[in-house]
Amino acid sequence: MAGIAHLAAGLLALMTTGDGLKTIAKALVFGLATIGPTVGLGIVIGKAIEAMARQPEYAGTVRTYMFIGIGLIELYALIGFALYWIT
Amino acid sequence: MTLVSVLAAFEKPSTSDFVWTPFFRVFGFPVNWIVVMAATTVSVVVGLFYFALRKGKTVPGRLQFLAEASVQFIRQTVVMEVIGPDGLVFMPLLVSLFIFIFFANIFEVMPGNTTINSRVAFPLVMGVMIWVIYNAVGIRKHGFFGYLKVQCVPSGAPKLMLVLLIPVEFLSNIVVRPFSLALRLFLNMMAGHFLLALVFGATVITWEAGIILKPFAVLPLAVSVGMLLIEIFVAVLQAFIFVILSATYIQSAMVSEH
Repeated sequence: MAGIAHLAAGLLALMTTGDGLKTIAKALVFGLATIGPTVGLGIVIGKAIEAMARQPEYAGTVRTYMFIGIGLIELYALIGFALYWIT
Repeated sequence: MTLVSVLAAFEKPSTSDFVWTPFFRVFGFPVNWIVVMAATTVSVVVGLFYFALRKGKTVPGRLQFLAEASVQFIRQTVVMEVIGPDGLVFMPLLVSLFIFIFFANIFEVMPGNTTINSRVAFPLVMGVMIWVIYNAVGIRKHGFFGYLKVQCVPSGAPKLMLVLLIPVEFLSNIVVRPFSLALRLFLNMMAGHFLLALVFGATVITWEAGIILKPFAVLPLAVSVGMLLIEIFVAVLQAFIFVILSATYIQSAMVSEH
C-alpha cells in the first residue's frame, strides 16, 4: 500500500513538473490530431466500398479516387505527428 | 537484469536516428549512409529495367513481366484513369517516380536502417519537381494569366465570394502542393521508422527483463511482424499515392474548365 502511494506521488510529481506537462501536451497534440482524419478516412473508405458494391463495374475508378482522398486526408494526421517532434 | 535497468538502457527512437556522419568527402560533398542508400536505390531501379528489358521477348520472362506489369499498372490505374490519353506523355515520369519511391521506401523494413525518404530532402525535391512540371504544363496550355484563372477562379462561384475564394484557391492549388506532397511521404516514412523501432524495442525489452517475462515476448514479436507487413503495405501505398496525386495535379493544370 505504501508502495502504491509512493508510486502515485512520484507520478503526480512527474506530471506536474515542466517536462511531464510537456510530454502530456505533446501526446495530446498527436492524439487530438488523429481524431478528425480517422473519422474522415472511415467515411471515405466506407463510401467507396458502398459505391463498389453498388456498381462493381466502376470499382477501378472508385478505387483510384478513394486513394486520392486518402492521400489528401492522411496529411493532417501526419502534421500532428510532426508537431510532436517539433515542439 | 531487472525491468527498470533494461528500460533505462533502452535508447528511445528520436529524430537523431536520421542523422549520419559523413564517411568521406568527394570534392567537398559529404558522402554518408543516406547518399549510399540513394545510390543503391538508383542502381536497383536502373538494374531492374536494364536486365528486364535488355532482351525483350514477346513472351516475357519473370523479370520482364515484373517491369512490364509495373508500367502497365501505372498506365491503366493512374494515367488513363486520371488524366486520360493526353497524359501518356507523362507516363515515363510517373512510372519512374513510382518505382523509385517504392524501392526507396522498402529499405525501411531492413533492420537498423532508415530510408532516404525519411529525410525531407528527397521528397521535397520530388515535390518541387512535380510542382514545376504541372505549372509548366498549365502555363504552356493556357498562357500565364489564363493558367492562373484556371487554377484560382472556380467557375460558377458568385462574384462576391471570389474575394475570399481566389486567395484560398491560390494557396491550396499553387503554394501548398509541393510541400503537402513532400510532407506526406516524408512523415509517413519517419513515423514508420519510429513504429518499427518501438515495437521491436518492446520485444527486446520483454525478452531481457528477467526469466518470468520471457514467454510474453511472443506478444510484442507478433505485433512487430504485423507492423512489418503494414510498413511494406505503406511503402507501396505511399509510392502509389504520390504518383496518383501528381497525376491529379497535372490533370488539374490541363483541363480547360475548373
